[in-house]
Amino acid sequence: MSGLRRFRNHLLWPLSKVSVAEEIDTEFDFHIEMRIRELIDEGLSPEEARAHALARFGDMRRIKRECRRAANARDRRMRWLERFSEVRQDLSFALRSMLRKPLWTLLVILTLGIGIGANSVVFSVVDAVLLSPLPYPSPAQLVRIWERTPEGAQFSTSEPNFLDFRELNRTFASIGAVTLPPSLALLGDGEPEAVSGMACTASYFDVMGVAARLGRTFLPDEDSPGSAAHVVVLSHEFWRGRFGADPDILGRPLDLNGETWHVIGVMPAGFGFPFTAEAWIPLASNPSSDRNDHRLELIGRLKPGISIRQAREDLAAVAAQLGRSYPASNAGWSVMMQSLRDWAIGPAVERAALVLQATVGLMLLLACANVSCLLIARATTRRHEIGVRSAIGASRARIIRQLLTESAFLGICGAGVGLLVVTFAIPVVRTLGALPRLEEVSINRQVLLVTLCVSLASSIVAGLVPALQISGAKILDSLRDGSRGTIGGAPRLRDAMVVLQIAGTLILLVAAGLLIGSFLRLRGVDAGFSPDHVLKATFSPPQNRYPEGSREAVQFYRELLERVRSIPGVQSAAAGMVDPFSGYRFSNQAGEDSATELREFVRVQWRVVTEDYFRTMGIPVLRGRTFVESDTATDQPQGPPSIIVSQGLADRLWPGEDPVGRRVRWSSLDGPILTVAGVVGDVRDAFLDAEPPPMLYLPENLVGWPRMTVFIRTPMEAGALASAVRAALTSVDDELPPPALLPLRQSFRQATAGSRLNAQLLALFALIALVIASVGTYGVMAFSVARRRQEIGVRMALGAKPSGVVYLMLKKGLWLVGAGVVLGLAGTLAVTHSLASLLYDTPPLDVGTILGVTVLLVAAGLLASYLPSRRAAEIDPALVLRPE
Amino acid sequence: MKPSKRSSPLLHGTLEALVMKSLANGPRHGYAIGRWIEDGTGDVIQVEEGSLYPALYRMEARGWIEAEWGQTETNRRAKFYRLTKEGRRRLTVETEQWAAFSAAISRVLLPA
Repeated sequence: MSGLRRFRNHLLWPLSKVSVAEEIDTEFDFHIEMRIRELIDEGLSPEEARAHALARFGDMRRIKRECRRAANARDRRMRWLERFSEVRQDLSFALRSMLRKPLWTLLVILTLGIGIGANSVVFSVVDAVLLSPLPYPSPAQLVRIWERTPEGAQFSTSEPNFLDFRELNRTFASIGAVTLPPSLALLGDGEPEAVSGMACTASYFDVMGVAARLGRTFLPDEDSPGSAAHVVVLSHEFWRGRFGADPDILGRPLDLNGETWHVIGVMPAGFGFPFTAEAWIPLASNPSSDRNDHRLELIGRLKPGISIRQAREDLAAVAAQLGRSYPASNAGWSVMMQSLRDWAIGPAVERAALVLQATVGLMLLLACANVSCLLIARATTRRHEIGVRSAIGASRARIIRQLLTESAFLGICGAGVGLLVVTFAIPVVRTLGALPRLEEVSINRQVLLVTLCVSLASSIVAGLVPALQISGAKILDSLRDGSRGTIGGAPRLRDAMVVLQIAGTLILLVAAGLLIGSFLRLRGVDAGFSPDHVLKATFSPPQNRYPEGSREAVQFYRELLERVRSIPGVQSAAAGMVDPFSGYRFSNQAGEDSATELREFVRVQWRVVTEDYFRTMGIPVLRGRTFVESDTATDQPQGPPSIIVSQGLADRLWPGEDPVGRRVRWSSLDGPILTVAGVVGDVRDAFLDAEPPPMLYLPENLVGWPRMTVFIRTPMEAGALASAVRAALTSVDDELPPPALLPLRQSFRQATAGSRLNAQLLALFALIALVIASVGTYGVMAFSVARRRQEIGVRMALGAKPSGVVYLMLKKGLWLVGAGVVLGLAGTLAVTHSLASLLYDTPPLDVGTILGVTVLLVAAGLLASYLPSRRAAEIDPALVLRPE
Repeated sequence: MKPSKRSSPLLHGTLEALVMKSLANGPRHGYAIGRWIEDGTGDVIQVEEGSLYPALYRMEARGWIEAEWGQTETNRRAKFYRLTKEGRRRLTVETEQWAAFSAAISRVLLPA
């Protein structure tokens, strides 16, 4: 073993310093030499020995080739191993240097984490709402279909028209129809229970392409008029919640509205979008029903390869044909279509989601700029360490890699914090309800992937500039007494980062300010009625006992209201056909009785209301009178029935004249004649952000509408009144489910929910940005003060006043904030117009908003500069100038 | 790597096991590895250069052995091979496999 020991004592040098070819040559030469020596020892002459050795070695070229190939593979492997171990070194080094400054590390990780988390949360929403396809097979083939009025408005479809569309089209695989059925009350052992139902054709399930999870959906003959089967399909959620997921549910009889229905199927979980329901019943479309009665919502599935335009042309041709066959009802009517996805999502939602995504993206950029500042500051204090590393042979690339590894490490930790943010935020997001499909939001693969990519990208964005900066510094400079020198352009770079942060923050603040202003204006809109101290409850007595237009329906509300009015604490009570902001609207047309052409008619919204409606809702009566008992008497009154019109309608039909006593032709040229009894104020009860439409109120006895909302004006709370209202209902009909009693104010809140959510989220993000920018400004100013300690000390020693020193430092802060504001205002000009469609009654360049947030930002920036500047004044020249 | 006409053919993979075994007690250069195997097997197995060196480079690439330049007793520069941790594990495995294999063959060819 002496050879071995000697071998160990020899100086070794790594193979990599020699080329592969040289390595092999050396090794083989040595081998042959050893062989020759052995053969000479055995007695051969040197020449013989060499010839023999070479012959024994064999085909030298082939062997070398083989060895070369293997050696190259070996070297590749070595390079990988080397790189791997470098990364491991970098990581452990990064970890150690982060643990040395835990507070700094925490600040960076939190800044990145909040930015990354906000991005991931918003992305998870964008992903669920905008990006992921609807949960149906081939969702691109699903199309929403409407009829189009001669005036070009979107309208529901009548039953005979639907049947003709389905029969005569050539472009649809199938068309299904749904409509809200008369209310369903599940009767049984306990109190009647309201079931949210949907009536749909058998074809609806084929169109959606979803089969029942249990049992089946409707058969084609189960939705034929006259023989419509009493069968019901349940939603998965209702089946689980109400029937405990009973596997023997199929065939079970249910008492709905006093009739026996049989459960034939249960849909899979999540089925329902966009028409959610707990139970589906067959919709029997009657070909002989009134073509003027538009109440079906249509969804069609295109045949493969058919575009929505081809389908529109096809159905428009069918509609034109119907117009010729049935001019009284169909002349001038056509169709409108939109892909189901576009209809369900809508441009406002899309815009809101994109604005949010842009906002959090900008916020993350600011967070990156801030972290970049922190890294530059950190790197400055580490110049000495880096100088040493580079002096002992680390290349610039190696040092950049080291620094980037550190920031990537921080980024990954930030991603961890971000995922925590996401985990906590997503359950909250699901309940916000202001966007469709929010319940589908989840932490899925895309969200995780985006989080990872965003965190890596942001750590590189944040880390690259400092890494380039510090690694490019002169080694000798940094090895000299480090504390006083500065690195190249680092301060200027940090200044730029702060300016960027202030500019970005200004943009976010302006956006938030605009949306908040818009929300406040929307909330402050005079809807024309006063929702405070009004409770509402929607009733829908079943149509089998209270048919539309029947005396029973009229009588039901009359009795119900009488009993409600007698409840102590109720000031007034009335019923109306439309629950404000519920999305249900009814429109028709009305003209002067002298009108000879439909063109002279005005498209109006109409409402059936009881007496006391205007008083209860707080709608002012401007002229004439409201309904009195004689208008709504159950036995037909003498002469044309009285109606009330809105101011807007009166202005349209009789500008500048007194409308009271004028006559109106309703619906069509040969429609009934009505007399205007009074004029009331305009109301916005469908959309707050749209001008109030012309409105026409009909007395309830004229229509006998079964599904009405009862409004109760009372100073009492809903909870205190609920049992009395329930008792009133039971005394009228004890087979109806008790309604939910809600404050009308709540409908207002729902009507502004989307605007409120936009404003709140933007405000939150802008606030975070403001904090980030303030911290960034503070950091840069503090750094700048620390760097100029020496100079300040000299100035003070020479007699500068503390206030002068503060001013000197503050001047820099002012400069940074000013530059940021100017840049930010330029950015604001460039981007705010994209908010226009989200704003109500607010110009995208609202001067007040822009001035306000600029003041706020300047104040915050000055405060962030003032605090470190004051510290400059506290510098003791004696301490600073003493030699170290 | 065709088996030589002059020597007993080596079973596939056996050469590698023998090389690793030769390095078990310390580094050697290629020539010494060949000699060690020939001596150890009483010259029954002749190690051909055409098989030995490609095998050495392949084993290096797999990380079973590693090499460094060193100086011999005669002050010549030579490439010395050394067993890695991975190689040591590999040697144990191959030894066990060989034992099982040869026992199995013996049971058939040399029944008691």
